[in-house]
Amino acid sequence: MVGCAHPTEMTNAIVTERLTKHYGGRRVVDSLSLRVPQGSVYGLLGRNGAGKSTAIKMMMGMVRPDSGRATLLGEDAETLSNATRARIAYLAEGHPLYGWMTIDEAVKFTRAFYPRWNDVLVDQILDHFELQRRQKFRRLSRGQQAQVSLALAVAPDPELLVLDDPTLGLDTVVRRDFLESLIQIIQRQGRTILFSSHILGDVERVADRIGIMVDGVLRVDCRTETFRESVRKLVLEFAGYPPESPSVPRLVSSRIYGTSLELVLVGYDDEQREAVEALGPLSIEVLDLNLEDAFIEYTRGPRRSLPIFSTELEHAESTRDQGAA
Amino acid sequence: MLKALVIKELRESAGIVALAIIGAVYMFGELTATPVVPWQGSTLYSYPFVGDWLGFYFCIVVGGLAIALGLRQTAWELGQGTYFFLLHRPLPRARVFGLKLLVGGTIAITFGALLILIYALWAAQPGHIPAPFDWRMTGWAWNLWLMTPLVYVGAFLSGIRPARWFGSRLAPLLAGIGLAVAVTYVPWFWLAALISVLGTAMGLIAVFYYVQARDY
Repeated sequence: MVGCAHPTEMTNAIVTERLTKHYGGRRVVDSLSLRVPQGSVYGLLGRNGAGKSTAIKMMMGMVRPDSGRATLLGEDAETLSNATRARIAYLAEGHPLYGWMTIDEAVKFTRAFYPRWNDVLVDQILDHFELQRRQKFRRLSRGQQAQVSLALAVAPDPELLVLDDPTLGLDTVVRRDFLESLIQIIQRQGRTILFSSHILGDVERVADRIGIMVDGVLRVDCRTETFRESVRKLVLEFAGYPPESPSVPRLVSSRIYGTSLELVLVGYDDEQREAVEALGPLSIEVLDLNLEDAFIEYTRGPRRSLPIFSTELEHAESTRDQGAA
Repeated sequence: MLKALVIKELRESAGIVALAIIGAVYMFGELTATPVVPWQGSTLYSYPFVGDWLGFYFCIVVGGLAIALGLRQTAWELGQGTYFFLLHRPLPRARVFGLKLLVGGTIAITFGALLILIYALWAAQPGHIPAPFDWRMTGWAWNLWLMTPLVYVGAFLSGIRPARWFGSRLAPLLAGIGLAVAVTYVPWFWLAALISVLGTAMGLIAVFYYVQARDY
């Protein structure tokens, strides 16, 4: 697992402890322990069916965990008080809202529940996206529905935003627009945001921390940069047929293409270098991966994704930061 | 916020109520021999509340209204995914569902009572039936009316209770209909009322259990 040391003095907006859920005998979320520091933007990644949505639903108290617990802003997720719930915005997957409502009715309906409501911000967002208040929600495109949902979510001035795959089904332009609005909102208020996605580009643009779930297990939890730096791809050329099951520490996946052997590793230290050299390749090429490639390589490997801990890296970073401060 | 929720529930029920009103108009056309569509006759063959088709039409119109309302308020929201929006509002879950039940139950029960009252008032007008009218003749109709909350809560519970397949999902509704049949056949009003109240109360307890315990 790619893990990062969490500065202990920092308050966490979201904490989950061994959160587990089964559906029909299948473990959908497996002992999810996660910490989202206040003020951070956390991208929860994973392929379809990795357990992201179920994990978020458990955090929001919509699904009861079989074991484990989640706390949001210091309160148990299952017994959130109304006051705390009012400080949390939740955008469920698909932006569900009442289709028969006009945008204006949806705004009025939602506003009725909140003591704090920023009408100016709603107007700004609706104007920015050129949305007419008399338009019915069901007649809006998916992108416009997402924009309305975002406006309704941020209007009560929440401290924590939880967005379940907010860009799902949106085309590239709308997605970019939506994310830019999200960035503006984040920058303006310094809120904590947890959002799930299976599109790396989205996460790369917004998140400063990422978590990657593979088959219900959180395999990566670190700063975005740390993950990118941790995953390495090696291309080994052999005179003949490459070894089928290479024994290399912290190997994520291996694939053979003719006389080439591609290895995806977590880190690339002396121990791994020795193991790779012991395979007897003619040449070794070490490739840096961008975040998307790193994610794809990490999550699609034929082997079970290898947990990566990058505590040292993170520790070094944090020491450097402190030194700079 | 309660007002916003009530308005939402009323707006979402409006279509179903409109259909029930159309059904009720047709029912009155049949029962009072006042044609509202070309194929209805204008001759009264039976006395109101005595050997007429009130039971049949009441079950269709009011029973249908109760079932449609109960499922619309629960299963429809589940299917649309709007529970995620609604239940994240800062309001206790029990209050959200309590309000749904209050609005839906009031609509169904009031609608059923109004049908009986309007039919009875028509029958009580001199010249409408070739016999004296006695309000005690409406006795059995009120037994019918007592089935309304049972069917409504049964449908509501069917919509909110998790189940593996369609048959078991509809079990609470079938139980509600079973009790409703019992209520209509019991000769004493007090016993019918007791069955209705107890059955409805049990259904409500189950509803409030499932709204807290289920996954959305």
